[in-house]
Amino acid sequence: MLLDFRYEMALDFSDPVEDQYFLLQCIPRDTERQKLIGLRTDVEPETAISMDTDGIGNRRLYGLIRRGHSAFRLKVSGQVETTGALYEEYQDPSDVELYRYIVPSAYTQPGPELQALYSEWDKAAPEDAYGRLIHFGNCAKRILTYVPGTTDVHTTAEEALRLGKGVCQDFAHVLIALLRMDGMPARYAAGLMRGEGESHAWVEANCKGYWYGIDPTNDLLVDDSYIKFTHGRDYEDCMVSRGIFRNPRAVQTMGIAVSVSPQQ
Amino acid sequence: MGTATLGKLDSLFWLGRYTERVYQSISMYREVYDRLIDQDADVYKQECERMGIPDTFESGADFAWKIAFDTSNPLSIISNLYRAYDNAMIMRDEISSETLAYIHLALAEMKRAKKSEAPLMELQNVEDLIFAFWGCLDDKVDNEGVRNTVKIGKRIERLDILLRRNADREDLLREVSRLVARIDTTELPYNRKALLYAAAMVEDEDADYDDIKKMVWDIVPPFL
Amino acid sequence: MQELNKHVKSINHLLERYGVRFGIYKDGMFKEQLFPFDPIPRVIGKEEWDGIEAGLIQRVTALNMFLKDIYGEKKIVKDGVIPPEFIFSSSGYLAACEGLKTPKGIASHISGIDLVQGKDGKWYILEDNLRIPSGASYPLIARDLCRTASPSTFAHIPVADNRNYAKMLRDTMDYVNTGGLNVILTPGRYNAAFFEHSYLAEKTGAVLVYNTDLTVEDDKVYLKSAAGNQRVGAVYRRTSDEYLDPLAFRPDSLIGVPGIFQAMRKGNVAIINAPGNGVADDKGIYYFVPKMVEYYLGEECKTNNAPTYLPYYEEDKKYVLEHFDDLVIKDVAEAGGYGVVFGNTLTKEKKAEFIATIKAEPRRFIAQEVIDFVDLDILDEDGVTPTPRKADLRAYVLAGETVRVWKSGLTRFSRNPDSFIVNSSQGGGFKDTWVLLR
Repeated sequence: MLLDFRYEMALDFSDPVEDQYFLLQCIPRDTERQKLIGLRTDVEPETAISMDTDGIGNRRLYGLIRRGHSAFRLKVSGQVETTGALYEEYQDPSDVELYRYIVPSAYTQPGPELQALYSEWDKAAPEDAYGRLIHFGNCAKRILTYVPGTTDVHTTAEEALRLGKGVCQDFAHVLIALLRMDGMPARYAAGLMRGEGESHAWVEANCKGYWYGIDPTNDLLVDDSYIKFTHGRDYEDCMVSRGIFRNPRAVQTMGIAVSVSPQQ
Repeated sequence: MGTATLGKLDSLFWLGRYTERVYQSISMYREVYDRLIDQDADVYKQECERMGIPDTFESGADFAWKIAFDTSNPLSIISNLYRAYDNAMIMRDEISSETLAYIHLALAEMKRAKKSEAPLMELQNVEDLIFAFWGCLDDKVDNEGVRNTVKIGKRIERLDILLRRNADREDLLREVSRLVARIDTTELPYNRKALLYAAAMVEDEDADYDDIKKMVWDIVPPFL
Repeated sequence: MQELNKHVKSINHLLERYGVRFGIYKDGMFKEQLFPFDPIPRVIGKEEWDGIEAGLIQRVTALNMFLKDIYGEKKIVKDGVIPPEFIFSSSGYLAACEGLKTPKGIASHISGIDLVQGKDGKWYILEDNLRIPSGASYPLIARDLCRTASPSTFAHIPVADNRNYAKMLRDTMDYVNTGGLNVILTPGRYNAAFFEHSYLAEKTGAVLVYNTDLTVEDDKVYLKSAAGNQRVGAVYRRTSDEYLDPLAFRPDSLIGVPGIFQAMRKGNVAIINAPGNGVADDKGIYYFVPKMVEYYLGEECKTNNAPTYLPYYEEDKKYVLEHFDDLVIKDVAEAGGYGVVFGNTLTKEKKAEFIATIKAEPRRFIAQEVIDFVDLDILDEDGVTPTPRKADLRAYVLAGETVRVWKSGLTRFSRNPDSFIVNSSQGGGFKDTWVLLR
């Protein structure tokens, strides 16, 4: 399917700021499931935009606005061809790089809550790996209630579980933690989904070498309506935007608008 | 000087101002202290008035101690020496450890004075050490920009103090001409208009000292 | 040697004169205090030193090869020498450094290797510090002051002059410099080691800068001087990895330089030491250093590790639980003398609790035999009586065109007679370290 996507960021400052540095990871990766076909970036105030790929293959764009300004607008848009394949690339299960996604990371470190949840769900889990993935994939949706605003970007899987609430980031962290406890490499994926007004996060798990996408928030398998920007160990590797500016008095208000739609 | 940042220029400038302030304060202090020994017990009241500070002191002795050694009083000599120290220690790489050492020693001597029964003795040493600091700076630091930025600080501070003390026009003229001669040898951001106005006002017999003072403050406005 | 003792007053006077201090936070307040100096030096004979030196050069060479490998091909893991869990779960492993190519391939330019001498005469490595090891400035200035206070001592004893440290450091900076100024980036005036930052800047001729003095544009680093921007080619930073760049590491860092990491990735600046080195000085990785030496250099490791056990391995776990009381257990995530537990000091309850934690998180701990190390005499408070204290030695190894060991080092001692902990942040003092020329 050919999808048009758009990611727009609007920052408004209460007081003019200088030396604003920005770095965004909102450019789709090329995978077996998706290919970036066209890309356009617009930024206001006008400045040069640099692009690069980090050490684990995620793309980013970044730039700097020196002169004083009170508003910042960044629009990234383009087309992605999605194939609808069930899985991403194949990665040999003996590849040591997979351990990156097996050991606990900062957001997915298990505590008593996760341990209890895992032992409970482990009892009813089927034998085969793919079956287990689907089994645990169902879990978050039953345990957590989707409530925006109750957690923030610092919330760990363990904390979200204690609250019983969260957003897609928390759902993903909980599932990642469970899968890793089960010995299955699992990673965080950030991107967009058709029909959602904001950026999204889900999980990819390596099952017998194949990376499967699973969306614990919606209890769905990832299909051709998803566009992936980045993947990594957890939220930290996939933060969509980072930035800093000069003026300690200025308060920043951020607005994000996204859209994904099939090309007409 | 090439690599000096605005932050460094600021520290060097204030290092000049605070060392000069400590030096000048000690000489004034010596006079007042002497009079308080056996003459005029209320002399400190006039001193408060002249310095423009509220008289919150219990006695001449209380004044003498606090104005020199009370670290909680921002106007005290010791507080100004600490500020000189704060600016000096972050300039070690520019002024050298040798030069900085005199500020360390001055502070140690000041602490000794605080406990002394005859503090003028130790204060004399503080004064000597400040002279040694300036001398060392002049002699050991190759970078003219560094040396002169400290000196500009000294000149501005001296002008300010002279104006407060209603000094003679001649003294003012001498200081202003030293300032004009040196200020362009540094990268210190300054207000040339204010400098020229101040110089003209010093020459003008009718100019009011308070007005000159305000103009002098504008020569090197805060730039950080 | 005893002669120096007579001059302890003059030496202390000189230390005060030059403001040889370090900062500590006590009750939430920043304070500066003198770093207690003991005039009795640690003396290392020429032959003994030659052995230490050869071992350290070998060790740091291997550690640099390891860092290059880990953020690149990871051959040592693929070949099964180090289990991958130990790499990826190390808090010092930074994913952002994957694929990073450092100027001239050096990641650990300044390594501080902590050693102790056992009563068997052998030297043991306690830990490798490859991030921002501090302390070299103290023996450097102390030697200068001791020579002033007691010239005759040095006229009669052939001690290697250690005042070449600044030159060595500068050579290292120049060697990796990508074109531009050398700067020393300090987190600020209220950092514990500010004295050292400013002293090393003075002695190496590098510019001492704060984060706001630097700016990055087009992936190049500049010093914002009053005369205009000037290109920077090497940054000896004393800011830790996580605070170095808010665009790459902790996004809330206010003491970082935004964009500096990307400038490094593009090869436009050398960062000394490179970010990500924590993966190699991790207490868990320590166990594998002798294996690294064999793997990368094909040589037998010349330095001795303290006998170390990893509860991660079943066999070792069994040993640790059986010999708990004889061992010192270290939490791999902690530093600065924290997170160190002597098995025999725990109460029964605490011990049971601790063992449960080890069983639950075996990767988090290492256990070591307690080395019975040689005490060094320090002068008692009366300034006359020598009293034995625990002491270690931090040796500084500088990697530039070649790998060199500074012929001196920081000998730290514990002031408390019962303590093994020598860190300055916990009240320890320091001694000069003499390497004899013959």
